[in-house]
Amino acid sequence: MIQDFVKDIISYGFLRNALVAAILVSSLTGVFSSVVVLRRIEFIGDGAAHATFGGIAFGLLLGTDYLLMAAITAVVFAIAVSYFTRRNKLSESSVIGILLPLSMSLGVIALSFVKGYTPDVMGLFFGNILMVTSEDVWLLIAANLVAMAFFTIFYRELLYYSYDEGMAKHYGVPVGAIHYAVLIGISLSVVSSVKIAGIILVTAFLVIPAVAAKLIASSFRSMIVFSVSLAVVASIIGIFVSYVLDMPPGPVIVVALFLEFLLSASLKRFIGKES
Amino acid sequence: MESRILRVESLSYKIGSHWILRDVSFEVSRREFVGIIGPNGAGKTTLIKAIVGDLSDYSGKVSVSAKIGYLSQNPERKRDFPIRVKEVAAMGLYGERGILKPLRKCDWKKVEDLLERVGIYDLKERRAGALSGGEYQRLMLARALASEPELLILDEPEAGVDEMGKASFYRLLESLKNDKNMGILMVSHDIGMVFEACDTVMCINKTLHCHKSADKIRPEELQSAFSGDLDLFIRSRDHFEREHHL
Repeated sequence: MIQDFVKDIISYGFLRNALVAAILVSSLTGVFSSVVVLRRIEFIGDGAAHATFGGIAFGLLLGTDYLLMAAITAVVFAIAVSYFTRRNKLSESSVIGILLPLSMSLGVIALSFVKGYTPDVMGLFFGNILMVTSEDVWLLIAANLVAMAFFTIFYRELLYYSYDEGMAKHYGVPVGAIHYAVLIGISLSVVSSVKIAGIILVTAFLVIPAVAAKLIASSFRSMIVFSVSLAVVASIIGIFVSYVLDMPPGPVIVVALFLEFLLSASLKRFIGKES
Repeated sequence: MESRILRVESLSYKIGSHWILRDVSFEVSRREFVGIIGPNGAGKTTLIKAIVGDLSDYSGKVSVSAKIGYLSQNPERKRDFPIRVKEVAAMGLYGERGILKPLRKCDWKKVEDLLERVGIYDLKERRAGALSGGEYQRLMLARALASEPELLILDEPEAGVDEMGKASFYRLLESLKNDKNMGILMVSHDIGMVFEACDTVMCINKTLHCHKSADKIRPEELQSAFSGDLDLFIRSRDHFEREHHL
């Protein structure tokens, strides 16, 4: 069974791309998931994905590259969330809850002005991991490299920003810049992943691996490593199982992530997490 | 070396038409352990924030001629956060090392020495969330001491610490004051301990009612500052909880 899978991976480009893209999407979103969960902004993935709807709609209206418009909208969304949370002392979830429907509504209004055939924009949000192109893979490789470099270089800043923002600021950590960078990074990761993995899977990658990792990790570093590992393992298992049993890969990956969470919760209960 | 390390002159702060602090003036010297007491909403934390630089839109003048170590009021512990004890203490060194400069071996040695000094060296590899209230308070103290402060400022350090823990914590502060030639400014609700441990006591309720040697404060001065908030006199267990709406 595994031999057949490996043989088909080698023979079929679309299957190879699907596996590589699943691994890259999971590692990209998995690395950000630690900060998402520790900062309690689990809503951000859903928010960023839906907010880009407005950008895509305006891209169609103006006849420009809709992915570029989605990226621009994601950055504007992240900056707006950062700005309002810091200026008005609102929670990230409140601001996301305001901007998500606003962007969706502006998108629907923009689409109503598009003459002639209107493509199924919402269809983009369900993703299709079997339609991954080489360009998508290269984009994801670049995004992964940037994200890994960011987490390596700014490890201490990210740790202190996530742990105690007030005291981090007191000790001179540039929490404002880190806050903007994190939200922009998450939003761009969502944009580069959602076309491939879909909203549900991207949201799952941004939350479940880190929640599972937090249960068993003793440090921020180990939590990041566990999060990425759990996300990548779930992707490989998901693609393999969906290949063998002929099932859609996205939902199978989500189920694999959930099983990992259960395993982690059991591990915590049986061996205790404190050393 | 000048003895005075902090001078506050005519400090006032208001939100809208509501005065939080009005015309507060005092000085703190090296090797002086000052306890700040006052009822709920007296402006104690606002005063601390003005001194450590977390508040800027006040009137008056705050002159600090010493490096400050700050132990903030911290009701939220984030017990499930995966961070080791030594990493929390090392946070205090961030200002010295700065961005993009990871800690060196000698920095980690300094962190370990500090943890040894406050008595929690054996816990350095544990998750910070697993510490007891007293141990966590010592960790916060180690973090505040990391930058080698000459003025240590503590805002309600007794929160969540049992009586035994409080007594040994204050003894530790006293020995640090003498060893490091530090001034200490501490906001506390624990009036009994303040009078026992501190050299001088400041009674604040919007304005400064008195600032003098602990044994020279008369009951009437306390009465005027607290204006009927008598629970402070009996060290009510739920004082902290009520102030923070817990």
